[in-house]
Amino acid sequence: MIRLPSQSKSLWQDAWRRIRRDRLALWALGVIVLYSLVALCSKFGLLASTWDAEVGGPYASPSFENFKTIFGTDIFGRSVLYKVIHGTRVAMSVGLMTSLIAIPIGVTLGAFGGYFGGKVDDVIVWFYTTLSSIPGIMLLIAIAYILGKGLFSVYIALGITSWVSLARLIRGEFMKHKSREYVIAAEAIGAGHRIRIFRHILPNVLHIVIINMSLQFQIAIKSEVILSYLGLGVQGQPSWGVMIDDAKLELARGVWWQLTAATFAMFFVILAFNILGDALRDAFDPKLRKG
Amino acid sequence: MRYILVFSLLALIVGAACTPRRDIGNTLRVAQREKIKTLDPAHANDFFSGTAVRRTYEGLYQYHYLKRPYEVVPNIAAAMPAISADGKTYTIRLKQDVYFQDDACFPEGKGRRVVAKDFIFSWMRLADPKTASEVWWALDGRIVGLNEWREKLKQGDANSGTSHYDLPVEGLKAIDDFTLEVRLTREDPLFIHMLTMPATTVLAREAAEKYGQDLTTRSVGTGPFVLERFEQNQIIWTRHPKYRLETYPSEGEAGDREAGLLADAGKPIPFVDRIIDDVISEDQPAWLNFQQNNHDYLVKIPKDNAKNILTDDFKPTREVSERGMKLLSSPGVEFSYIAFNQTDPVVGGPKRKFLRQAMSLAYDEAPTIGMFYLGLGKKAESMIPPGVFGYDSEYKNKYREFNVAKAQELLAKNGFPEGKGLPELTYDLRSDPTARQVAEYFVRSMAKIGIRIKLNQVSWPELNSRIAKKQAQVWGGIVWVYDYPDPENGLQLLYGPREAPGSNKTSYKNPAYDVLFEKFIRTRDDKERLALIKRMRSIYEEDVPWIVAVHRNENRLTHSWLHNLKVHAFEYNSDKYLRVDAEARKRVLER
Repeated sequence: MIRLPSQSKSLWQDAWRRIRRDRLALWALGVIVLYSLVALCSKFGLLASTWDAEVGGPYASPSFENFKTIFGTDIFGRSVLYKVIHGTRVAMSVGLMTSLIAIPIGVTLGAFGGYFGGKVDDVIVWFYTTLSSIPGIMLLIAIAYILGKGLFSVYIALGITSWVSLARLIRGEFMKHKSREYVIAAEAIGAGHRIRIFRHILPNVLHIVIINMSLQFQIAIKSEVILSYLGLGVQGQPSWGVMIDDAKLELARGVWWQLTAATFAMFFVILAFNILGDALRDAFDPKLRKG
Repeated sequence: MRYILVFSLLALIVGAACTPRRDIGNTLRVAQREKIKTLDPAHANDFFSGTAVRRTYEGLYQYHYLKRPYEVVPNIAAAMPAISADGKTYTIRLKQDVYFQDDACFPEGKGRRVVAKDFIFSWMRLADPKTASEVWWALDGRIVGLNEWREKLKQGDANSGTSHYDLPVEGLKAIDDFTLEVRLTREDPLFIHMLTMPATTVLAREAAEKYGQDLTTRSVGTGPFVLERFEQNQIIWTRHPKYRLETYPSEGEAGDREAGLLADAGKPIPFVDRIIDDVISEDQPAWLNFQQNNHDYLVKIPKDNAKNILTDDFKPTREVSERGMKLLSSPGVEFSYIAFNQTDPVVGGPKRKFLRQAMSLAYDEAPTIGMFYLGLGKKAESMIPPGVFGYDSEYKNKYREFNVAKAQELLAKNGFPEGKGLPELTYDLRSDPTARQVAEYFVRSMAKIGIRIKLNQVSWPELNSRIAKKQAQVWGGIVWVYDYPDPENGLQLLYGPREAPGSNKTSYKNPAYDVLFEKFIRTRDDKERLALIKRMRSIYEEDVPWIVAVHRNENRLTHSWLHNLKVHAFEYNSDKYLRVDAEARKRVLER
């Protein structure tokens, strides 16, 4: 009798093992966790809740005397550090909410299109090709105008414009999987469409969602910055985009700290997401395995 | 890092603009900060086209170069108009030595003398629907019969065979070659200002018939300069050889003599032989070119480069003072404001007067001038800016002092002690960093008395449409720039019948004010006008339909060798008064 290993490694366990071995990916993960913690602390008022208070004179340059003025102050003497922290909260919430909106849409439409094919697929493909043929920024601006300005409409606008690439990938995977033996076997023992889609195929393509999410997250953050820079994003509270918009005029006065702080804050988190996204792809893709 | 950026840009531009520095003689070199859209007076509706038009086209009147408040003086007219007792008929004598420049459109290519008929033609051309002029508003509804003539043309050709321009217009008559009689539809003290605008300058019929649309890029004028070359990025003008004798003004306002502005009094103008306009719309290249001595003065000083010109306490920097550059800064004829929609149930109307007074008192203006305008501006007390008749430097608006205690008292009086019970207000602004920072400052100031405000950034067209539809509640970051230096242009902004979408954007309505305003526009006597201004002022001061904020300055930067430059908000063609010390400049350029 052949004894199977008592514990075979699932795709997920295997991927986690690979990521753990990748130092860089772990660092990236750490950075993301740190940003998330900062965002959460800010959300619950533990950090930078007083970003609106004056902590010094206007445009005080960075100094290490005081924690609050480590990145200097802005035109009204507010702490740039606090503004960066508040901006982190805005950015992370935008990334998260966008993903929460985009993923269900992308997965559902992609799954239905790929699985059912035919007319259903035609309609879904027509829909997302039409959507993606409209320049993204124009669509975002249009949605921001309809829903009014503010963080909420940024979530919605980014959410409903960023699911197309995910839907495409999922659709392709579903087409591939629906004729695999295990799906046919499930059909043979009487599994309906719903069971086949959600119980059988979906778990096998979920890793694509994870990879896509880590890449989507940083695109959402960048888009929020651009929208806020254009004045279409958050209103009346700091965000990285608003800070960069401020810096446009301040740079001439030699005030570089607001730009620097916001840019670096953005740089690290986006870099981390990119590295993690790549690492996830490597970990999940069996073709890239070296052993 | 900033310096690296600046230096690399500098290297790039110097490399590109390194033309051999030959002796350029008595030439004035100017950076125009926008593309020149047209040279046609009937289409010049922006500052830069207006400037170009006034190099070569002249009108009947102009503004005195040095005197403030701005004063209308004759240009092609020989004297100020003789106005009939009812104020409706203007008789204007023309100078007899005004010639069009030589041009192929005239017999034998010789420019002829300007006669009264030329003005009649030019103004009819402005009214002609075919011209589709953007500046027709200057004469619209003002001259008897001109609108009717325009209507007739619109309805199609009634008597083909003769040109429309040969049909008489009742209110425009050439009594003889050098006397023009204009009859107005009503008593209209503002008419004289219309005669200073680029729109009403004189154009020869021969030129209009020969060149038509081509007048966009060529010109046949009477002015001090003649167009030599018109290209997208460079325009060259030379002195008009047949220009009549005009002299530099010999009077100015206090301080002009000390500033050396009267040194050339009585000398014939223009002083320079040639003008080269380079079109440079980007701030950075404009500044670097000026710094490289490629231009003699700089209009519209790049905000981004203020640091190079002014130190943190708003003094000229070492480079500026060592090189003898001069920063000329004088209050612009304009004011910025924060407006309250008077039809809004929360902030508008007489019931919420105390709320608005409180907000005005809680808004500390003084720091904003340093924060947002480089210290180059003046806190506004009323809608009448310096340089305009009726401006009173002694006047202090009761609700424009900074007084939080009084503000809180008034807020409570309106039923909102410490802001309690007042819903969150919405402040509309256009997407622009400075506008946003001004708004943030306002929000912070109001928060101190417990008023909560939400910002709403929109595009410029959307902001205008929200204001026009009375949807905006509070808005700011907007500047009213006077079209002509008459207080009417500011006072009309609160005239009830002109409510939004008209020019009264706040839809302010106060019958007492309207009665005074109607009286004001028919009054010509200065003393009476001043009394009316004061009465109107006391009404809107109390009602606070808006918080008048700042008169921003108009700024110019000049090199040491340029003389006679004085900032002028309306006289588009100041260049005829400018003198270049070519020797001094040559020495600097050769160094």
